[in-house]
Amino acid sequence: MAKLCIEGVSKAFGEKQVLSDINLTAESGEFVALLGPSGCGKTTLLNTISGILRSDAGRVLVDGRDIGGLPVEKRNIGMVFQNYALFDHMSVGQNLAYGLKIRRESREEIRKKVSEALEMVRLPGTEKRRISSLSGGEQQRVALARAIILRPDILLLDEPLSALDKNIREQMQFEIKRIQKETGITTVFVTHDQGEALAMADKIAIMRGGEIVEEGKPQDIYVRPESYFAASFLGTNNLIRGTYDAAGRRMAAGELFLPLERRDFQDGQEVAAAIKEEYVHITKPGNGLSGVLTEKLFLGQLVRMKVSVAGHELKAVAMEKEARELLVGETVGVELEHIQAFAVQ
Amino acid sequence: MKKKYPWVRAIMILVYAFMFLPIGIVILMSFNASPYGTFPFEFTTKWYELLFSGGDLGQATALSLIFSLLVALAAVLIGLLTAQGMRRIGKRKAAVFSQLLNSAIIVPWLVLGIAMLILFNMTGLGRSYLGMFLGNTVVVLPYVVLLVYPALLEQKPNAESAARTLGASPLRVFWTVTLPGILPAVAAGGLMALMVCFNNFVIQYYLAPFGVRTLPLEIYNLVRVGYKPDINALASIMVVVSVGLVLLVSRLGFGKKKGLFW
Repeated sequence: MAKLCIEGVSKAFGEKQVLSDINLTAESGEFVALLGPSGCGKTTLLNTISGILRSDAGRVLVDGRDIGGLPVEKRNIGMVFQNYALFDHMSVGQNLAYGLKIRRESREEIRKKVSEALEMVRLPGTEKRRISSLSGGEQQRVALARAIILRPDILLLDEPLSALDKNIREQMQFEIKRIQKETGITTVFVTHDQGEALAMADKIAIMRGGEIVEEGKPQDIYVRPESYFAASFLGTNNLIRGTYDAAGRRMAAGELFLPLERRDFQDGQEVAAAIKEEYVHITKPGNGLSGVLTEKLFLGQLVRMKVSVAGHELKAVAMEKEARELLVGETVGVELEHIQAFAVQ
Repeated sequence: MKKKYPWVRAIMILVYAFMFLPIGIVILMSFNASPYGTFPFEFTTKWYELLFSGGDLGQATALSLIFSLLVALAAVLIGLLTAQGMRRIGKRKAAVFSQLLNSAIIVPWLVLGIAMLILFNMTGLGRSYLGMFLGNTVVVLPYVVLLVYPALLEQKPNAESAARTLGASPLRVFWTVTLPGILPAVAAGGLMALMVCFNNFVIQYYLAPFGVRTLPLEIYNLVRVGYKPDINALASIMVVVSVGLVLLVSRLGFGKKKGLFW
């Protein structure tokens, strides 16, 4: 249990600035996700926390103590790598015991801790198994157990689920979340998968081009993103460009007028609006705006639709039973919720 | 569709016969009673008895074995460090370095041997055990690096970093994670170095101290003045041991992803 503070961390590889002035805090026991497209610097940031890379500037504080000058092995930071980085020439038990042996713990203690850790990741009794005999999901669990067995101050997870099948991945999301809550270890999790970040994190920091664009709780950042990048990165969006009409407190995009919550725009300023597909509600004609249903795609539980409103085509998604009576080509009512507007640079 | 090429097969058989017939004859003659290698064949083991009943050959063999072991050991140590260093400096620089190193194989040993002798004479070292040791180590070093460096690159990325996050110092990481991973390649490199050094006539011919005869030099000396079939016996043993070593090396995996014992 420790608080992690990253203050003004920068890193360049040659000419290329990979991290610029990163500030991030993870409270004690908090699960923070670093979310961003590949190449945004999120793994580099993780490596500067672990000490695998040295930052050019800035400080990394654990409970107020600057660990920037310490070598990797003195930082007490656990890490799970994308490829798990297990030691193939050792058994599962030997992998888990590796760090405990370095700490010169007694044989009894090691045996007990290894057995407990395997219990925690739901692989009890697998001490003698060879790494090559494990499935991807099992290797993932062993890697996690090996990291948490040392009770590190901070746990770093580098895209730990990206190599797994979809089903196992969803299962592991719950598992990692559960283990993190049980152990209470402050965790930083790197991912490019918004679903993972939203499902698992207490706080999400969205990164782009070596900077943190926005951070906040998953619900807040999803429903009310403050930046255009965050809005477009999370969820499936309808993006509409137009101009701000200060008198009407709305945005005009051709024939379509959208009321905006945000009012800090100039009259006539170019703005962009993002509306998530699930906030486009298609109903009986007469409600809200008038549109024509142009496409309907049956997905089982859900139905994905396209509706034409005042010359704009909007994507919408609804539960199958709610949309059952809507037919393609019919006139429908369209209600829009949570319209997020941003100034266009 | 499989097309048959009778000529190709015939030529191949001829080539292989040309390679293996002399070796076969040497082994056959080592069991033949006639000292002049004449027929009729009469089975005997007396040449082997003669070989092991002492004499210069036994002494030379012992010297060569100890010498080759030392050279192989030095080559493995230096080669390991070299390969680690090459990994650190990045692929492009490592390629240049690797080419420079391989010049010890590419430049004819004859030239290299003379060049080293001239150098050692200039520095006052002359013909000496140390000179011979240095010369042979240089010549076998590329074999170790050629095997160990690719094995290092093939290692799972991050396993070493993971060990560091678990509290291991860089030295401990090397012993517990890096070395076990590349052990087959290191062993194969060591065996290669051992064999190449054991067989290396040219370098030893130029650099051995006066009066000191390693096995290749002793055989050369004996064949020059006369020929006794105990050399056949020795040659047969060397062939069997060499083949055994080669099989072992290939079992250890020449770039194959196969473990040492499983």
